Order: sequence, then structure tokens, then C-alpha cells
Amino acid sequence: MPHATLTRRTVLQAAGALTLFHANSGSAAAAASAERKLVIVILRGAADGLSAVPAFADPDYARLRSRLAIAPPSEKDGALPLAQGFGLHPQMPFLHSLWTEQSLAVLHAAASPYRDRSHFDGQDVLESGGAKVFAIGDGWLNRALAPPAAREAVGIGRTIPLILRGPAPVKSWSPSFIAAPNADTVSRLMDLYAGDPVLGPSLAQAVETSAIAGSANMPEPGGMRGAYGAGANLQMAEAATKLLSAPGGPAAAAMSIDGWDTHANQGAATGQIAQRFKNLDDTLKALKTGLGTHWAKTVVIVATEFGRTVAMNGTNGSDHGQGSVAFCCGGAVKGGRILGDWPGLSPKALFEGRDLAPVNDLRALFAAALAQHWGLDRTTLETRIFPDAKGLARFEGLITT
Amino acid sequence: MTGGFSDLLLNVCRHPAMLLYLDQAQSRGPTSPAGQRANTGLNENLAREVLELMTLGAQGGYTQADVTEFAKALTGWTLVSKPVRERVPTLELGAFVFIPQFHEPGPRTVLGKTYAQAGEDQAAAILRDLSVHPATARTIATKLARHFISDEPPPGAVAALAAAFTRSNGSLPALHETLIGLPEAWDAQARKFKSPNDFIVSGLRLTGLNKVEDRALIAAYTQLGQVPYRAPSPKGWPDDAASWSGGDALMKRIEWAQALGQRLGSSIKPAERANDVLGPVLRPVTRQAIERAESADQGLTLALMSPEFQWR
Repeated sequence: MPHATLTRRTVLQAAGALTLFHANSGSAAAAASAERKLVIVILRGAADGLSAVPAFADPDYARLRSRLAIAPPSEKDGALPLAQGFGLHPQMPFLHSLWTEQSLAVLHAAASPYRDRSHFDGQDVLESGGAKVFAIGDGWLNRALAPPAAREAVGIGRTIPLILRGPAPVKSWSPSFIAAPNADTVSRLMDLYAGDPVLGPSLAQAVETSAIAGSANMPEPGGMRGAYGAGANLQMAEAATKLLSAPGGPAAAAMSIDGWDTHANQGAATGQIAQRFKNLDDTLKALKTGLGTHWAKTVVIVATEFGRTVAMNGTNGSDHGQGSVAFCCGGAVKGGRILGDWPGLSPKALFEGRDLAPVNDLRALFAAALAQHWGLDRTTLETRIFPDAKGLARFEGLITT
Repeated sequence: MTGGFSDLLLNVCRHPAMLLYLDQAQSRGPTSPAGQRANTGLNENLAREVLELMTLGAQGGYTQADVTEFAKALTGWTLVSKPVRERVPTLELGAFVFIPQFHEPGPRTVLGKTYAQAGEDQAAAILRDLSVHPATARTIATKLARHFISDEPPPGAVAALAAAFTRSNGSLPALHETLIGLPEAWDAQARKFKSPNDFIVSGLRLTGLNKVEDRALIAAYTQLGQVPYRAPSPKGWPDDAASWSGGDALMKRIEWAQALGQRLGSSIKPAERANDVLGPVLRPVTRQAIERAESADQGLTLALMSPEFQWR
């Protein structure tokens, strides 16, 4: 099926129909604050931090990880060297180039405050910014959009992730594979949705968003498989960059990459997880390429709900654990740094005898980005954005202010 | 659907698709004959998801130790692989089988109760106990109330369903009967936004199309984000409006409705059809919009995408 997008003319028609809905958005202050872009990439399924950033110099690493271990940089298929005995998975050369140009910082042994091992509850805590499961019903990134700056955000994907849900209106976008809606039909539906508090605002935002992202030059049709596979992630990254770069475009975007729950046949330098890392690397590269000159003022944070067991399990994979790794990269990042503490992998250091101890609070990284990149004050951060988060590490100087 | 929750749970855990999906087929007791010999061991994926998603719920009060013990009890629950079938040709390839050589020997303690059964009965006994646990009653009651009443299930309805679950030992017909009798289920304020599956099925019913090519159907589910058997995680599909009603998702629905409208052309009188399907729910303003559409296919698109049809 040929790939169709909104044509320029229908876009203009649809956008015209929308003017009434957006009559009072877009002040000069909002425009200035939107220049600093923040992209959150959530790896869903608990990505293995010890495979992403192998601690190859830790005396217990190779033994515990067994067939999941990534070799030191000096060996065949070895890690790409970072610092302090850490490396990057060999399938992430782009991310490594960011390290070399000091645009990548790494937070290892990191986790949200969640200490159990349910994906869904873990993602709830990661995205809500709460200290406990179901403590808050909306997402921290949405709360961080609040006035006075009144930034805007877009969710890339078929559903709006919790991290972006909340009082501030957000847009959403995902790739389409069939003919775009007729602008006249959309405008008639707008009338029908006038009294519907859910569908009315939702459709209004969609028309505006597709006017920008829909005109993107999509990669080849991709077909149905593209909607789930590696190609879809690239397509989503490309659309995110188009939306973010558009004049008056949003300041933030959130997207998810699935498929990290590697319980069986995980692989190491090659195999299942290696393919995921390659796709993540390509996706990040697409972000940089697509953002062009905006990259210099961009921060991208890659995080996951929790890590995986240090030791390989009985099926050449790993089970749900605690500490994992997070990346903070972008032109605005003063990187080349390993952030936080390293608890080590000795038997005594492991959480409940099995997991990398989550000694670094992921919220500290999010808060540092919001403080240094967007200028949110500490009180707001530690009470409203991340309730019960007093005394987070500050990672001063992480971002060019 | 006409039996007990206990049977449903046990059958799900013996289903080859589940055994493969949550890695149970490969799990081996660490000290079982197979575990000692081969390069394989315990996998706790199914055990955890049974506790978290199918029975007690994440806040149901179990520990990591319970997960591990239950996973050990489940070892041996697997399906007939090619090597197994070569040895025992009477077995059906891919069917559920209990293989004692994979099973972790010894008693297991889950939620404080010790299970001394040998073999397959051990995990079955744990599953049966889990299936009637009070936390399970709450889990199932909440899921049913959320699915059939509203995204924020009324506490009274959840309590009534949980009581019916406990009273009937998890009889599904008893639960369905209770649900139908609940005043909350008939409250006009309680509404659910249709999932893509609800929308596609009800949309095709509205059009009266009774034959759709498989490819077109799969394309529709893909486009709307709910491909059968491809739920994003073991938790299954989201069951709330917030997950499905994003602007982009609405656009995808319009695209599909429009394609359907174009396909049917003027073979349907959309206003009449909307009236037949929606009855008193159809607002005059919607009826008027459908009647004033510039074409029959636009009228059908408006009917399918009307708020009245999008909510159930």
C-alpha cells in the first residue's frame, strides 16, 4: 500500500479550521523557553544496564555475567572504552562518538525509588515521578511543562505515555500507513466533538501536529512490520525531530522503545540484545541528524524502569533486577563523565544478593536536566515535580546553561 | 467463560502459547536431573506474571522468595518439543506435558503454605489456592468493573463483584450475573471509550459488511494499534480512554473510517443506519451532520466517528 501523508493544501485547510482552538497560545516567552529541547527515550521492559555499559574492569563482572558478559575493549567484540573501567556495548558506535566529543554522560547503578520487580509498576514510578507506585496519577514531564514557561510537549507513539499525561495539554503523533483524513471531514467532526471534553481537545491537537510531522519525508513505506520493528523507531525519531524543529515547535518529546525484557537467549556482543542496542544507537543518531542546529541546545535522556539480574539465569537470559544505566546526551550536555557512585558487583554489594544495587536515583538526573536546562527551581523540583525527593544529587555543570 | 476462574487459570498456564511466551517451556529445576545435566536452569517469568497480573496483583503481598518458590514448583510444566516427541512418539508435538526430569524436587513454600505434592500437582495446587485468594477476588473484580463499567471502577461495584467471586469460589457465570445486576453498570454517566478492537468490530457490524479480507482486517488492527496476539506486554492491552483517545489515535480512526466509507460508497444510507444502530443515543446534531454530509461515504465516516459511536 503506497504511503500517503497529508498534502500541503489539506494541511493548510485543516490548520485554518483550527485557529479558533489555539487563539491564545504562543507568547514570546514561551517561544524562547521552547528553544531548549528535552527528549526522553524510555526503554520499556527493563533494559540490561550491565550489557549497555559493561563494567568490564569489575573483578566479578565476567564471572557473574557468564555468556552475557561483554569483553574488555582490548579483546575481540569488546566494549567501546569510556572511563573508570566502563565501556559501551560494541553495537553503539554513535553513542560512543558522542562520548568522545563530550556530549554523553552516563549514570550507572541507577533506578527510580521503586524496589520491586514489576515492569508496569516500575514504569509507573519512573514516569509519574512519585516515590511509590500509584502515588501520582500524572507524569513528571507533564508537570514540568507548567506555567510560567508553559512549554509544550509531544508524545511519539500510538498512546500517550504516563510521563506526558496530566494537566498540561500535550500532542501525540505516530506513523500512518493509510490515506490521511479529508480535512473537510475532520472539520465537521470538530463540530460534533465540541461538547466532548476528551475527544474535542484531542482531535484539535492532532490536526495541528499532523500538519507538521505528516509533511515529513518518511522512510520507505515500511508496511505493517515497520509499525513495530526497528524501522518504526527511526521513523518516530525522525518525526520527533521535525516536530521539535518546527517554528514554535514543542520543547519536549517522549518516545518509547520496546523489547528489552530479555529473559531468554539475550546474547552479548551479538544476538538479541545487540540488535536492540544497534537500533537504539541508530535512533539516537537519527535524533541528532534530524535536529540539525537544534542539537546544540538539546538534552536526550535514555532510561528504563529497572535493570536485570547480574548473574545469567537458567535460559541464557536475565531476570528482573534493580539498578540499570541511564544516558544523558546531546549538544547541550557537558559529557565525557560517569556520574554518581559505583557499588561494585561483589556478593556483599548486590541488592538482595542478585541485583546491581540502585545507589543512584534516576530522579536526580531528570531533576538536573530540568534545573540546568529549563531553569526549574529546586523547591519546585523536589516538591511538585518529584514529591518526596529532597536532597537529590545535583550533578552540577552537567548541562550548558 | 462458563466455568470457574481456577480452571481458566490452570488452562492458561498449560497453554503452549503461554508456556512459550513467558519462557516457562525452558525453565528447569536447578537440582533436577535435567537442570544438573544441561546448561539450563530456572526462569521465573511465568511465576511472577501469574502472581502479579493474573491473580494477586502487584500489591497482593507476595515476595521475591514466593516468586522463586513458585517458579521452582512450575518446573516440568512444558510442551512437547521435537526431541521429546522422538523419544515418545505418542505425544503430540507442541502440546502441554509435565516432564518429571525437569521438575525441581522437594516441597515448596508459597505465601507461607508448604506444598509437599510431587510433580505436576504441586504447581497445580498453588495455582488453585491463588485462584481463590481474596487478593485475586479483588484483582478480577477490579478488571471486570473497569472493562464493563468505567475506567475508574466504582468501589461499590468492585466490592460486590469481589464478594460474588469469593461466595461462588470464582465462578465466572456468577460474576457475569452480578455484573449485569449492578446499577452502576447501567449508569448513563459511566461510559467507556471503545478500544480499537471494539471499534473495528462494531464499525464493521454497523456497515453490515460480513466479509472482509484477512489482510484488510490485519491492516486495520495494525493501523489502529491493536494487532491480535501482539499486546505490548504480558499485562495485555490498556483498558482506559486515556490510552486510546490521543489525538493521533483519533486521526488513525478517522483514516480507517474514511477508507471504509469510500469502499462502501452509496450502498448505505448513513443517517438511517446510524439511527438503527444508535437509537435514542444518537443526538439530533449528529444526525443532522450525517444528513448534511457532502457524500454518503463522508456521512458514514461521521457516523462511525461520532462521539455516540466512539463511546460505549
